[in-house]
Amino acid sequence: MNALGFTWLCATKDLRILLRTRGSIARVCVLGVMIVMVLSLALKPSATEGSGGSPPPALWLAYVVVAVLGFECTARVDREERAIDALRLCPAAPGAAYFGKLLVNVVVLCFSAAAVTLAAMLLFGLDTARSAAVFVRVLPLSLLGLAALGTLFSAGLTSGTLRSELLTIVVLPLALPLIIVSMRLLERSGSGAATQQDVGILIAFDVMYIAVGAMAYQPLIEA
Amino acid sequence: MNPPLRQIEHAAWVLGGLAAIGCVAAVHLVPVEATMGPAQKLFYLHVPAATCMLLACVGTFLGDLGYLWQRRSIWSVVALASAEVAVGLSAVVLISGMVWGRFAWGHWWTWSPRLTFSLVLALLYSAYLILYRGIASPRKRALFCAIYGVAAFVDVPLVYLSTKLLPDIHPAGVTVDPRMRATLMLCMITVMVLSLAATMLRVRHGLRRTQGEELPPEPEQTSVTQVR
Repeated sequence: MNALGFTWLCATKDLRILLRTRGSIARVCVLGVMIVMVLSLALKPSATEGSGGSPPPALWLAYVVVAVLGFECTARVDREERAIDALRLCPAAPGAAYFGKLLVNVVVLCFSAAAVTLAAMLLFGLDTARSAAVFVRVLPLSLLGLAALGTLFSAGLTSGTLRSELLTIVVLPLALPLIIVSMRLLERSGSGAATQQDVGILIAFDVMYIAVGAMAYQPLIEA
Repeated sequence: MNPPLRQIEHAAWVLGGLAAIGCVAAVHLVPVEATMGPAQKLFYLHVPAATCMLLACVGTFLGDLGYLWQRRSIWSVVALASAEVAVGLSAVVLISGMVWGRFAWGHWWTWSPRLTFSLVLALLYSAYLILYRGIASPRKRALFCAIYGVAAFVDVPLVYLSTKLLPDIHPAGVTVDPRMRATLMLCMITVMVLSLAATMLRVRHGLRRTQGEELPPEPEQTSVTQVR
C-alpha cells in the first residue's frame, strides 16, 4: 500500500471510530456553543460585531478551546486498547500517519468551528451571508495550521508521554502567531481589505507547521 | 562539572559583579536624555537584556538541534539552562519596557508587533520549562522538549524583524550620544557575562541532576532470524 493509501485508510478509520463513539464530536460542538453564549452575555454589543458584519475576532477563544478538545478526542482513538502499537509497527512511510491524523483533525475542527460560527451568527446577530463567506474563505487556512500543531503534539498524548492538561500549554503559545495573523485576516476580510500578503503569511505558517509535524510525528509516536 | 569550567563560571560571576557596579556608576554619570528624562536610563537595562534574551533563545535552539542530532543528555541540559535564562531575561525586558513605555507613550502596554511577539516569546519559553518538568521519563522529556524548542524558535526572528517589516510604535533603532553608546556597550557586556555565568550555573545543576541518567544509545536492530 502506498503512502497516500495509508493516509486515507488512517483518516477514514479514525473518522469512523469518532462517529461511532457516542458523543465525541457532539461534546466538542456543545462546548463551543456554550463559550459563544458566555461571550455574547459578557461582551458589549460593539465587541460582538466584526468589521463589515463578519465574525468578530473574539470568536477565536471558542475556536481554540474546541480545537484542543478535538485534539484530545482524536488522540484517544489510538490510546484505547493500545491501538498505538499498530501505528508504531506499520511499515508505512513516516509522514503518512501524520497526514492521516491531520486530515481527521482538520475535519473535526472545521465541523466544530462551523457549529461555533453558526451559533455566533444567531446570538451576535451577524450578517449571515457575509459571515458564511468570510468563514469559508478564511477559517480553513487558519484551522489547517492549528490542526498541524495539534496533530504533532497530540502524538505525545497518544504515546502516553504528555498529560492532557499540558496539551493546551504546549499548543497555544506556538499557535499564537498564527492566531494573530488569522484575526487580522478575519477583520480585513470582513471590510474587504484583505490582501494577498495576508493570505500568503497564513499559508507560510501552515506549510511550516505541517513540515515540522511530518518530520517529528513518528519519533514522538515511537518515544 | 569540570573544575576549569567551574573556575570560568566563578570568574564570570566576579567579573559580572564588578561590571555591574561599573554600569550603575556609568548610568548615574551619563547625561540625561532631553525628551524622556531620567526614565530613559532604563534603556541601559532594557536593550542589553533584550539582546541577551534572543541569544539565550538561540542557545536553546542549538541545544535542541544538538539533542535531535546526537541524542546526548548534555545537549538537553544546555537547552534547558538557556531556556531558563531566556525566561528570566524576558521578564526583565517586559517589565523594564512597560515602565519605560508608561513614561514614553503614556500607557503600560500596546499591542504593537514587537511587544506582542515578545510576550509570545516569553510564553513560549515558559511553556518549555513547564513541559520539561511535566514529563517524567528523561528520554521522552528530552525528545519532546527538543522538538518543541525547535518549533518555538520561529518567534525569535519575528521579534527581531517585526519593527523592520511592520509599522510599530517601538523604535527600530536609535541614534545616541557617544557617551551613551559607551555606557550601553559596558552594560551590554555586563549583562552578557552575567547571563553566561547564570547559564553555566544552570548547566552545572542540570548535569548533576542527570548524572546517571545518561540516555542509553538507541538499541541495535536485530533480524528475525537471530531471535530464538
